[in-house]
Amino acid sequence: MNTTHHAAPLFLGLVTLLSCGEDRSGTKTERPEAEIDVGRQADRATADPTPDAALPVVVQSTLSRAPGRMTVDQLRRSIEIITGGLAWEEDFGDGPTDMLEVLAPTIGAPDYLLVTEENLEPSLIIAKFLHDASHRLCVRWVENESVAPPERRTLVRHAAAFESREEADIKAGLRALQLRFFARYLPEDGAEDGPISALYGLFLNASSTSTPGREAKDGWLAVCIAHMTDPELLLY
Amino acid sequence: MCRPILPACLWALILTLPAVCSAQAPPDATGACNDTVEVDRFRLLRQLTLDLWGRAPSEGELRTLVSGEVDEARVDTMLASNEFDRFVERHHADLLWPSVNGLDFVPIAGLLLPTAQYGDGGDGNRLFNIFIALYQRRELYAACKDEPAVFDEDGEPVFEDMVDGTRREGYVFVEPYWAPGTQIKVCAAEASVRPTNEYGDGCATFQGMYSGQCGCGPNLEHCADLSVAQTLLPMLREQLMRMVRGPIDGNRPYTEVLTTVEEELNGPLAHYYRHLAPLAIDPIVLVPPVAPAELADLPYTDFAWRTFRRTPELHSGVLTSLAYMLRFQTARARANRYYNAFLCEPFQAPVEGLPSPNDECSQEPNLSERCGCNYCHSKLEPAAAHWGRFAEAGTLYLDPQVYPVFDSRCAACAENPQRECGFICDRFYVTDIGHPKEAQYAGVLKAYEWRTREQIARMELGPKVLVEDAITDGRLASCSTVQLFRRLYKREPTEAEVNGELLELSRAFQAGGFNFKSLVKSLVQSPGYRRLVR
Repeated sequence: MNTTHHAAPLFLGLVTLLSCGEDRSGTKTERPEAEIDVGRQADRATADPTPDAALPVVVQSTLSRAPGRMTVDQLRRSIEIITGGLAWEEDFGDGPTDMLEVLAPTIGAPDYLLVTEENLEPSLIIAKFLHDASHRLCVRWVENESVAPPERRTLVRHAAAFESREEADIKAGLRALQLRFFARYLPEDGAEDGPISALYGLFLNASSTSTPGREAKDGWLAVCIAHMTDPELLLY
Repeated sequence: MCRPILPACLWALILTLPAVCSAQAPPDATGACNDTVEVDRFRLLRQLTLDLWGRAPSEGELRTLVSGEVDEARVDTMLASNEFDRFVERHHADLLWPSVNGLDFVPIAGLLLPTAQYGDGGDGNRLFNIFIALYQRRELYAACKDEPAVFDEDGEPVFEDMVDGTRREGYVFVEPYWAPGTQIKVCAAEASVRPTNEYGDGCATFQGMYSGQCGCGPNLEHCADLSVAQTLLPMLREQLMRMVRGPIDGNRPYTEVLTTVEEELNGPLAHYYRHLAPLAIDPIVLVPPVAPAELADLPYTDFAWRTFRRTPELHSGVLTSLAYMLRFQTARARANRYYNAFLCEPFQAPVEGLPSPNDECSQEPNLSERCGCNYCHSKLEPAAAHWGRFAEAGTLYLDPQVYPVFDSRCAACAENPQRECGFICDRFYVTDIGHPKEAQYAGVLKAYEWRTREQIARMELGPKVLVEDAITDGRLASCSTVQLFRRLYKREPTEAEVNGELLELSRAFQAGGFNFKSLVKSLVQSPGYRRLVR
């Protein structure tokens, strides 16, 4: 049975929500619907069956795509890309253990013996484990960042010192994180900063209530956890 | 209020929102929300990278779009990358379920276990075999003593009678084939290199090893410890995936995945074919698809893959691979998976259900004709027959020279319940007559029971002809397109889509020589891929 059927109402809610920030970036490309000439495509492909030979798809397409949830494997690999190489690991005394590998059966990854289809529902279970992951990963990430030179940083993506709490620096970092986590591009001129205004507030709140000396760390920690636990990370 | 900084709010809403449409996306006549939004180029790249490469794009990859587009060249690059292998492997893992139980593959007759797992005291790294333990030490899990072995003048280990009723010898050090240059502790009986048992059975055969009188041979060659088992299992999966990736990476017809006679082997699998397969009788592998003589110079430690031609010629791509046949152990299961994965034709019982088992028609022994059952089995039985020359619960090719359609010994035992049938008859021939209609099949190879003349002719050609039918009538192209649509578009296609745009794509796929990457490209370049349903 295809799980996407069951997930449809859940995704519907998500997509509605995803659209409630009107300043969502991204140029909505007004691409004219391509035309497909299946016959021409077939001729070319017969002559030279390489991907390069395939002609652009030509139909007055009425197809559409539903939102999907990342698989456990996609999530594991994406976290490494987003964090610049970190993985959610715990050490229970036998060295580092990849927690997403340990939890894969619980989250619904198939083993093809007992489970043959991955459960891709955006369930509370995956939300709970992402919450756990964020608390473990973000602490490490922030600590790493605090001693890294600006050009090597992957979380605090402004060019100033890590400790900076200047609005321009924080917002530059937040724009970069929106791109990094969600592929949401916000122009550097701040013209479309709507999606980060609340995040900026979160940073200020967390840093202003922090213990002295940890202001920037706690600000970015809050921002990191907010990004990591956002359903938009998992859905695409 | 719905901002990313309030994930709890989002999660709660996602999980509790009923299926209602938004004001911007009102329901259509069928009640479905039909509003769509076109994702921007950044989201499109994220979508593509997650789908085709199995990961989110890096910030650097995304920044190339600030002044660029997700154009055809970028899609081509993604399809040509090694990272696309992840897509190919995951897609086909979901189709082929490549997961084999270790004990369905590594023969227990040659399995060396560490004493540590059986609480036998002393150094837990001593290796022993349960058949040798049972027949020579008198107890299934009795290992040797944790002291060096003593040998008599004939070179045989000296056993000592123990107070627990067992008899035990000491251990020796052996350089195993799986770790050249090292020495491991093995019970002396297991380390024996004697060529035959007392009955004359070769020690490299299952008869010899199951007798418990044989050892593992030079360098333990016909045994395997758990590390070998752990090495072999992923190799078996990799062999299957190489059979899938080969035609796709090489831009050869996708149909080769299901029809090729070739397979790839590396050192560990070659060693398995040469020395371990002949011991594997449950499930029965026994004779590997590549003759051991061709593999003689491939050491276990050589992990490079090489291509070999399988015999007989009726081998048919992944459908007769070890991984597939050990995962799907009956002909019906093999046909069923093929119909589901590559023809999109699942076997489903009629909605009105099946007749009562007390109904007279339910007594019909031929499932193709039994009422209710025939709803699926009239199609499934002839399809399953294509695997009829491959053993169920195993992979052995049932060579007509060795396994004729009719065996008079098996017929004789079928007709006389007092008579011992033996392993071959019990396993492969009709010997249990449960219904008068079955009497005509006494002594007939099981796969031939109830088969028509035409079905028998196809059986002799293997699953390849089943695939060729689907290539010719377009079902393979059509289903391949639908399966890729499901993966990339995250939903079931509508009937109109299957018979409309997807049909056009599948025809182009077929006419273009079944180029898998081109089909993926067509699907992700369709404007529909960019159009997200809200």
